[in-house]
Amino acid sequence: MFRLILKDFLLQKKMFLFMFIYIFIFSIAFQNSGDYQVTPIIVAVSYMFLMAGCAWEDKNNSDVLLNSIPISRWKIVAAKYVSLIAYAMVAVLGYWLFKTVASIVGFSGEMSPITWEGVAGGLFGVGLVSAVYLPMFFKLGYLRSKSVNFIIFFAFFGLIGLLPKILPKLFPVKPEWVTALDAGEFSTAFIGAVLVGIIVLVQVLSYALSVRFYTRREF
Amino acid sequence: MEPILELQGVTKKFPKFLLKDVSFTLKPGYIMGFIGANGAGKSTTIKLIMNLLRRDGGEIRVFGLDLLRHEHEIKNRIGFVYDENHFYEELTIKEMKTIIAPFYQDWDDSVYKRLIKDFELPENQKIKDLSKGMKMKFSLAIALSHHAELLLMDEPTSGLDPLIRSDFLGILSEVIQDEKCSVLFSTHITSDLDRIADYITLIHEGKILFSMGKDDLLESHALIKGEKSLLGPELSKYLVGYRENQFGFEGLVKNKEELQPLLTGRAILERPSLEDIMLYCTRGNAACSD
Repeated sequence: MFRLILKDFLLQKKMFLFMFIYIFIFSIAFQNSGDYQVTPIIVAVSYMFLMAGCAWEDKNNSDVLLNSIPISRWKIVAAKYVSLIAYAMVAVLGYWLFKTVASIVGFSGEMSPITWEGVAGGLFGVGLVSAVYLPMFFKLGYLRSKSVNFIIFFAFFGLIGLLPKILPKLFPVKPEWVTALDAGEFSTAFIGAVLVGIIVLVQVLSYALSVRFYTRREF
Repeated sequence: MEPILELQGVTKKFPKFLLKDVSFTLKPGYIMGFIGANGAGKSTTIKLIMNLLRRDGGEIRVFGLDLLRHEHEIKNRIGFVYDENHFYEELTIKEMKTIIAPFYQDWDDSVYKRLIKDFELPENQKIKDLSKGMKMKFSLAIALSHHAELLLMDEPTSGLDPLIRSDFLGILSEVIQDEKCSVLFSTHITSDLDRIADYITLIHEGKILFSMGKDDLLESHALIKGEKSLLGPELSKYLVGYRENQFGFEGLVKNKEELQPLLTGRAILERPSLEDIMLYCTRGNAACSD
């Protein structure tokens, strides 16, 4: 599986330049996000790498090659999911490098330090978006899932912005757990554990669906 | 001796094509030419053997093992060369090999290096910059570097110019003699098989018309040329297919040994080529399958 992830990185050497452009744009766009400034950067960069990796598979019609060598289909699927963690790490490293260089050259924008909360938020975000996209990719292939992906990507960022307006309308009376959350009655560890539980569950379900779709694909 | 490859009643349905009841076997150490026109079902059959397509019926056994239950083990022992390049175009030969090699249990780097050197392949060149002939040689190097016992080749020479094709076939026949592996070589260019094939299997419109030894096939069939008056019930049971022309007719007959004494000099019999056999069998009534 490591070789499949390595392959994705080798194919995307040129994307590292784009990564720093993304980081620059997102650093300006989210410069008042404090601890969470790194969050959208992780989501955007990881997603960019994931999508580009999927595009290369399509361009090279590589499913024929991958399914002709002795490797199980579930491993091919798993490699895409595991690679997300690698992409997220690259995004964090890229942010740190950019922040270091920015501070040396006197970049006027505000760049927050990397926090655990910010990184966790990024992993949660990319975990959520990829969990929706990857089953479609393994079912439909890159080209057909591309338009769906376009909608998901912008819906994700749009929804985050709209949530403060939509939620009060959907829930005129605040649920008890939200009131408790506002009042700070839950510990950070508890909230973290719940979020980890949610994302692990979503990822496991998404992976199972992807494996089911991919094992039925014909090439 | 147990067949290295065995297909029994394999069926695959597509909306506009049906692969029907495909059965043939390949013994260890032999080369089988798998011939047929474009769209006859050659690639579909090879994809079914590689489990790239799911069959609707029948059974496929490779090395005596059920394909679906032992897919991983079987693919470890198969080398493949397809008609198109499926390697990642942006990677170099060296990078591509680094990705693929660890998946094979018996990968032999010394064999790979020897082949890369023999084939004069530039390791640091991107695959997209290689010529079609070089891409095929690279495919062959990968296919032969893990001591494969069965080579599946799906039209590897299509699109190659005659010089490169001859070069490729020369390399293949040399390598096969050394490696002692079995080969299923699909092609519609039958002349490719004159040099290398032991067995010939002909597929037409999704059905196997025959699968037999090449020498037996060429010995038992003959091209026949004669006057139109010969075209009667006596000849019809031997005739696979024929074309009339202004001088008489020309066709392909089977059971040459049996027919020859009956003709008593009234027709000319000549040794057919594989192409003649393929053309008459697929254009005519396909009686050559008997």
